[in-house]
Amino acid sequence: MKRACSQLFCVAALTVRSALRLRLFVCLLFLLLCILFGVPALVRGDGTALSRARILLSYTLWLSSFALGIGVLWTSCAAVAAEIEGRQMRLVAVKPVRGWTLWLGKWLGIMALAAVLLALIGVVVTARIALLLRDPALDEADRASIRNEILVVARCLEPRAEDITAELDLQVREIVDRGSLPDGIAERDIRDAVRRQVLARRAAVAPGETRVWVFDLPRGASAGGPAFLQYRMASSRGGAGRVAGTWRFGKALAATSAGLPVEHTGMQLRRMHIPEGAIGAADGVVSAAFSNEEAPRSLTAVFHGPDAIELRLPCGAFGPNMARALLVVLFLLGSLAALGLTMSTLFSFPVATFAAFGVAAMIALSRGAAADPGSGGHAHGEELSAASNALVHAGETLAGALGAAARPVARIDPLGRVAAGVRVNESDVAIALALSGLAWPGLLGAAGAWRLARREIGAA
Amino acid sequence: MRRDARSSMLLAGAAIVAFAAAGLLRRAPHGGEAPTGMHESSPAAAFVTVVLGGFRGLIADALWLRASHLQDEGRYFELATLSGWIAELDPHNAEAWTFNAWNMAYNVSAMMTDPEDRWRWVANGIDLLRDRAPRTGPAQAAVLAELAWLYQNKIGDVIDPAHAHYKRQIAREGAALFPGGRATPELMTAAWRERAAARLGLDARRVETLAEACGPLDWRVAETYAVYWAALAAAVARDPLVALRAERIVYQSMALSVYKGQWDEDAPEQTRPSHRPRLDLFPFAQAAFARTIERHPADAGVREAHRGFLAGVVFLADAFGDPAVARAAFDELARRYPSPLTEAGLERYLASEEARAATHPLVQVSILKLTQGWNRP
Amino acid sequence: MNDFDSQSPTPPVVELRHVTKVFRDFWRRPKVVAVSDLSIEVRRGEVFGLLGPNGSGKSTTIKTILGLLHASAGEVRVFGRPAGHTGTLARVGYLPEESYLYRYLTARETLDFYARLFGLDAALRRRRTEELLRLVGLQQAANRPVGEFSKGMSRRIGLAQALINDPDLVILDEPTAGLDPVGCRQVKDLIRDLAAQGKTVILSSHLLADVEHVCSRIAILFNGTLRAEGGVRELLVNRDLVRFTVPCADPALAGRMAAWLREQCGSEPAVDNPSMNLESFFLDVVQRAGEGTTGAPARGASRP
Repeated sequence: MKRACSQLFCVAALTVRSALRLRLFVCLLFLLLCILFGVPALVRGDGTALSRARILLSYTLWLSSFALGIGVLWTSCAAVAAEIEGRQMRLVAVKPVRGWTLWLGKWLGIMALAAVLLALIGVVVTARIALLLRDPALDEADRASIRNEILVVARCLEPRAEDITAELDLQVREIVDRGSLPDGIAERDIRDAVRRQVLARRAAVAPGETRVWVFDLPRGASAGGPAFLQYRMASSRGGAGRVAGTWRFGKALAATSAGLPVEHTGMQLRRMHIPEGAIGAADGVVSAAFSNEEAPRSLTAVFHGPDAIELRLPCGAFGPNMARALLVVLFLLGSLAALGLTMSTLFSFPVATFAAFGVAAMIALSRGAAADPGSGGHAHGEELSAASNALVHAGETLAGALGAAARPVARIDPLGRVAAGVRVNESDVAIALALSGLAWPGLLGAAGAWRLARREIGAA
Repeated sequence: MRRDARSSMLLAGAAIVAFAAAGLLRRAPHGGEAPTGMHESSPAAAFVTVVLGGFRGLIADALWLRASHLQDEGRYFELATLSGWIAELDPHNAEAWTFNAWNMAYNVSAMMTDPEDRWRWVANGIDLLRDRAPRTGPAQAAVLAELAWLYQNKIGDVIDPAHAHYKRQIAREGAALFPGGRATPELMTAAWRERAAARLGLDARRVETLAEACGPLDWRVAETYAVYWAALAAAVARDPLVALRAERIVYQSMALSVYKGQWDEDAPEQTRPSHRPRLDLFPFAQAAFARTIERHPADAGVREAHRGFLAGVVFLADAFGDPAVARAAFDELARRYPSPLTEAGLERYLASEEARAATHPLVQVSILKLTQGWNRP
Repeated sequence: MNDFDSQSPTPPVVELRHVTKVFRDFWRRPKVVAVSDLSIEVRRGEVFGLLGPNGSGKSTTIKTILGLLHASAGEVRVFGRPAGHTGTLARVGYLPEESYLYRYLTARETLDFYARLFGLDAALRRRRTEELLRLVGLQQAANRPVGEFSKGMSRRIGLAQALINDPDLVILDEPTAGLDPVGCRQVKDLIRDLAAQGKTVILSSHLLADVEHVCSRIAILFNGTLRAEGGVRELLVNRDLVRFTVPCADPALAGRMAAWLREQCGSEPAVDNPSMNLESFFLDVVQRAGEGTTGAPARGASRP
């Protein structure tokens, strides 16, 4: 065991040393610095300091992490394959080193490099935002908006899902009983259509109507600052229509606070600060009610989309949130490094690179397809040959499996959350660690180590 | 091993050169016109364009998708950046510039409640066309014509609920550079020239030329900028359709300047901005119409616009106490577009309700305001 | 080690039984038969030479012994275990035909790296590293990256890494390739020392003089098959001839002895003066030059 640890450390140190001495690290560092300092020159925002800060944060974080991801994948593809092709591996393979030690040592070395570069990204981005706050061109209101909307962390609560089963059952039964449906339509399809209809109806607040959303507060949740409701509302006439209404909030199921009148045009995200006292630990729920007071003009307010309405409870500080987000990114990079390493145990360097990038792209694309099943598959009823059908089915199954595997971590969206001021929870970090940092690299590593132990290193 | 490394580096270098070459080839898609203007686009954009080479189309598509997705979701804060990138990835495609500018100025601005927010997005559209698009190359004329149209239609017209705010912004920007709204020769010091170029993208030489061709325009109103950019577009246009569009904007904006080309400084900040007619610009507007009619003799639309303009000026000049201009406009109307109404003479024409009702709404509004004592000259 | 030692007092260290190695193409079709039905045994303390022209299968045989290639048929056992077994690799040192070292590591770091792979503790690593740097004459270049080394220096550091774990079996593929005569002699002396310490050495070379000087047994391969095997003396000695070497330079005495031998054997005996081989002569000159001996050039040397 002691020897294995020493070998692990030794292989990891060699990986780090090779990256440093072959100037790979310097190249990557240069690229990241170009992004970190060049992107702010390219981004413009919409003309407000807040937008500039937000875009600076999200773009620099995203682009630099993306570049780092590419670098990690490429480095890991080279880590074993290039040594086999350069024949250095022959001298290593005739030493008493097991395949898994080699694989894991390389992985640890790459992760150490990635961790250092990620930390650098975090520090530079945070410093840039801090510098932006000192920009003499900004006025106090700009600074306040950056502090209050970007340099904050809020816990994001979705409203309690409503049980629509009874309504759904009733409507489906009515349709089926009416017997006016064409043959060949499955009840499942009818149910899906009706469900969408019911949900769309519930997203709408007609003139004179009031809609209440209930948010369950997590145990022990306390607002570290003024809580607010974030929502997107459009009128039934589209973006140009104007809707006037009133918000009310309450600690219990009934929203009882004094009315807060609003009048909106367009569809942009809006924030409504919740009056103090409307949130508390009374019975662990907060309710928000919107009354549409557009009766004279008959415009319906529509709260559409998955993030149409959220309750945000400020908690924690920006720095630790950024650190948690970067940890999640690091674990994602761990999976990428594992993918590249295992590919490089299977194939030559160019083939491993192609295959690893291909699989990574497939996962990225299948994530979208998995999230939107309607858009992923071919049209129903499309005439395909049996072979094509099997191929399409296999492709869909693979994409679905990859998407499903990636979804639990992908949905965390750590950089998006940091840029939007949403808290990356410890549980998210734990999920990322368990899946992306341990489980997937573990599986890939087992395959890579198995292959490495059986590969004819001397044949290259 | 060392030779391998050198070969790899050579191959990588060759690949970069090939991508760059692909990029350069792609930059001159319209008849091989030399892309001489890239230096006038942002250096970062030029760098990205050259380095990305053949991948630009792919990246531009991805950015279009993202921009469209964000817009659908109502997340606008990235749109100005994305629009700029999309256009800069295909800098000689006029559509990329004009669509993105139009989208920001017309669609995104309409999603905002606050006039200041709306103005920001209109300004983003202007900024994209005026400051970021290349000033030479095949896209230039169409881009400039679109910019002129944005000034004339989005800001100068009353189609937007926040148009008054836009007009005040233009007046404020213009007044900061042109005291009293006039471009005088003594104003144009070297420092002023730099400021004019940096703030409003204006070339002092062209401002002077414009004053000679179009008269002493008021640089606090949107129509003046429309004339400036449209005249520039007409001068560089090679496509006759683009040239005609630009010339139309020139004469339309000149006509509008005659109707309401004077910013009313005395109008209270909180009320609707007020403009006054500029009858002294009539000969210049006349000349603009005449130039276009001469170049496009078969275009009935231009002549119809000219007829309407002359009729409007007859009534406006009469109402605002300038009988010489009224007479000149009427004589031209009778000469070029004779009708039973003109054959009856100027007095009978002025008394004709039918002729008055056919004038441009702005003329009628100006006369109405005058009768109510709002914009007495 | 104990398992192996307990099995037999003189078991083979390396044992190849009917080993065949076939290289296949992408479609798994046989492309080249590199080694065919090869059976060899190498015993403890032997210096075993693998001889053969280029492409005869020497390197393939060595790689098969090390587990770098897998035999297509037959069995390869090292210290009684299958080839490539981690436990046996700890007792093996290997110098490949070219220096496949990490170019960015210095000589000292290279030795330290491989020592760590053998799990040597820090003090032992340091001691072995310095000893071997001294042994191969690279103390002065210890902190230079291996990538900057000449071919000879690379062979030396390669040899040092092969000995870092004080192996029981040393496999040397063309160990003198790229070395100057001094280096060649040092390597040969080293091999003899290793044999004297009871270690087993397998040596592949096409420089026959090297093999002849140091090997106790050899095998000659051609086109992947074994053509001859045995002790060097057994294979090279001509039992039909006898040579006397006497410390007497008197031509008259030599003439009388030749006449007597002619009379006894019925044929003309060969009489000449024994000569040094060129390597010994060269080393003698270099050694004297190194000691600063001045004077006339050695007998027979020509001036430029």
